[in-house]
Amino acid sequence: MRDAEQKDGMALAIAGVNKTFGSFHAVRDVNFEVEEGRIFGFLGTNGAGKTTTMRMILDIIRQDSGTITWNGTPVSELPRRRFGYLPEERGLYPKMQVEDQLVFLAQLSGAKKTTVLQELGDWLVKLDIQENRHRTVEQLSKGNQQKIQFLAAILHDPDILILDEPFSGLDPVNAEQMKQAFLTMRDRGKTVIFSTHQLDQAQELCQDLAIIHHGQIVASGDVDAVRRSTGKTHVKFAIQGDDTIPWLSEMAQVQVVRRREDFIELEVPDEKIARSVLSEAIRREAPVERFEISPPSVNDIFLSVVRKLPGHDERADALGYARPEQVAV
Amino acid sequence: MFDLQRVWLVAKREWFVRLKQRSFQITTLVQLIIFLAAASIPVISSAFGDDGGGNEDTVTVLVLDETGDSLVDPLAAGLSAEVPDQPRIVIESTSESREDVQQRIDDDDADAGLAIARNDAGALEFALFNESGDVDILTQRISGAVTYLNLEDQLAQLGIEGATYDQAVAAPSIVLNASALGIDEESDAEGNAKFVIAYVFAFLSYMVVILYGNWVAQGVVEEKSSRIMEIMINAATPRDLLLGKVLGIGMAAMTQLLPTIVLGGIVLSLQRQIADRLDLGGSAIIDIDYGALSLQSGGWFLIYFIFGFVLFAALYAGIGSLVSRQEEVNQAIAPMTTISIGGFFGAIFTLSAPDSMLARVLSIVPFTSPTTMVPRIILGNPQPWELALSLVLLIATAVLALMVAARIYRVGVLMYGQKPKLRSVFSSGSAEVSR
Repeated sequence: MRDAEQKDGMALAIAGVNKTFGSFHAVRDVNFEVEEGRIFGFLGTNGAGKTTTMRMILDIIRQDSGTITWNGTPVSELPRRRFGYLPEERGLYPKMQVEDQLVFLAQLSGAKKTTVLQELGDWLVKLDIQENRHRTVEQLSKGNQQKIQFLAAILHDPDILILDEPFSGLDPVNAEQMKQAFLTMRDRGKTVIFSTHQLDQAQELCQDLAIIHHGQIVASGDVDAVRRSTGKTHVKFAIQGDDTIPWLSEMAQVQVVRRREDFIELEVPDEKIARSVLSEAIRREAPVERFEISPPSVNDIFLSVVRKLPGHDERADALGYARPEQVAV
Repeated sequence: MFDLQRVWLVAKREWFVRLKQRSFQITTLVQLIIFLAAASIPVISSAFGDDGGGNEDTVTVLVLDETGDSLVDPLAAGLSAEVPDQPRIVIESTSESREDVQQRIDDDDADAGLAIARNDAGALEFALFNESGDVDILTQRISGAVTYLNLEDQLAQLGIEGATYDQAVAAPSIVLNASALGIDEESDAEGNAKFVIAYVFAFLSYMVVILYGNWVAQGVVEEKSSRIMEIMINAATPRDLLLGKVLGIGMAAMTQLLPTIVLGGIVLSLQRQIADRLDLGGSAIIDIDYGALSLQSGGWFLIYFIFGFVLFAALYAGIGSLVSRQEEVNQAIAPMTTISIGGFFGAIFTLSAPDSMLARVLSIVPFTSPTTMVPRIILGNPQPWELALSLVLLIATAVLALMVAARIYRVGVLMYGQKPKLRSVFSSGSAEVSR
């Protein structure tokens, strides 16, 4: 059984999972899979069901129906130390020293004190916070507290890391260190599942993703596949000395998605139409500064799938995007 | 059911964190000092009692013997007998005038006076002096002695001597029988000491439950409001966390209570020795068997404290888990505080009527037994079956409370921002920890 799962490459399988709180259907028929040893982004607006899904993967709360398995074993039967968790609401004992606190939490998760102390020393250096080892948590800056919080999730050497919004509130330097830490964990063969609002980060860091909206998975799979799944093409386009480019609105099948300071982003059905934009510019002898064809960014995908759901239908229809089940790869 | 390793880990953290707190150390020290001072009350009261050394009251009676027959000594012999609860009489023989005797009494130089004269017929005549002119206990005691003296004198004058004389003046046998309703066999001093000790333990039981129960509730809310609960709940089950917390704070409480009670008991048991070493006299209050008393009351207090604490602490933890912020704790635990105050009133009542029906019921009912049974054991006579039933009920209720609290905990720890309502624990609309 384990071999079959391994062949498939999918370690964490979430299948047909539902969860209701009273009359509120928080998670609805959720299906997605996460490959072992990969970084998986879990995207969604506030209240979409990310935290509930993560808590179910951790078996903190249990689904009403459906299964969540890790290499075929239900997560509820796995020992606790296989999981590492960084909750969205950060929490540590404010008046406890960093080392005491991390050792306590790792021991609670089932790790041995001596191994934890060794690991801790390495990580404090890696995250550049070694001078904080014997300070109390309340004495640390917010960014450093977050690094400690991250260490609280990994020091017991878990296989599956569930990180809820690990980047929120981090400055660029700290965010970079956090990304490096992610990669370190992946290189050690750990599976990292993280949720985020910062979609650029998701695009840059994760290999796979799932987008959840109103408790439903609206897109999931390999990042590149998801980006191509809309069948749409995006063009970053800029003409020197012309910020508005009024003639674009006259072109058929060309939509202006957003206007930025340095370029205009267009959405077109295919590359042929994209090239017709370039031809038109040349015909008009406009000095083209930038012309870049790419699949829609994760950000665009996110916005489009989110908008097409109830309340945004008219725009979704206008854009002609596929239904969620078709988007999923 | 419990992962004891995790329970111990949580308990140990809880315990050590408190031991390191400055406020905890100071409270422990202050409590110890107060207890040692209280345990030294017998010795202190001896030191400050009147007459410095001899603590007993004395009264001085001036005797003016105008007969020249040396009647002072036989009189003194008659008055020297100890009478319980009455001051010792000191006889001072004087040769002053009757006016001087009255004057010295008026000057508070003496408490009473007696003049003995012989009339022309040879019979003795007595004159009593005191300040008020009332027939008080002292004048009655002097009259009694005087009557006896008079009898001896008359027998002597009638020429009765030898065995007949001895028989005639033999002291009567008088036995004082107190009502059975009175305090049996023990002296007032011992009764008072027991009452004070019972009161101290009743108050202590009440105070520690409120104090340490509060710690438990605050501790749970601290973990919730600091949001560390969510990591902990991933690592351990709510049951383990709950039991660990109750155990840890229980150990902290014991760290505070045990030295206090043990050292207090030792100091109390050594009152006689301390008094001797300091060369203080001994009054009745110092010669009570405090060793047995402190062992009995301290031992029972600890037994009832342990199970009573588990009962209350579990409920405090359950309630604490329903609250999201520190400010809401006091309101939420108000019902628990009310129960504790009820227990204290029950204890106060028990002090005055330790074997009344109400006290017997209160000492068996689980929520009030921790405060009322100990005073009953000290002051009353609880039957062995009452003790057994009381303990069994208390332990069973404590275990039940732990189970109920664990249930509340499972829902409570993930509940934020809602009004703490017990109903929501059993409704399906709340997130509930699955393990």
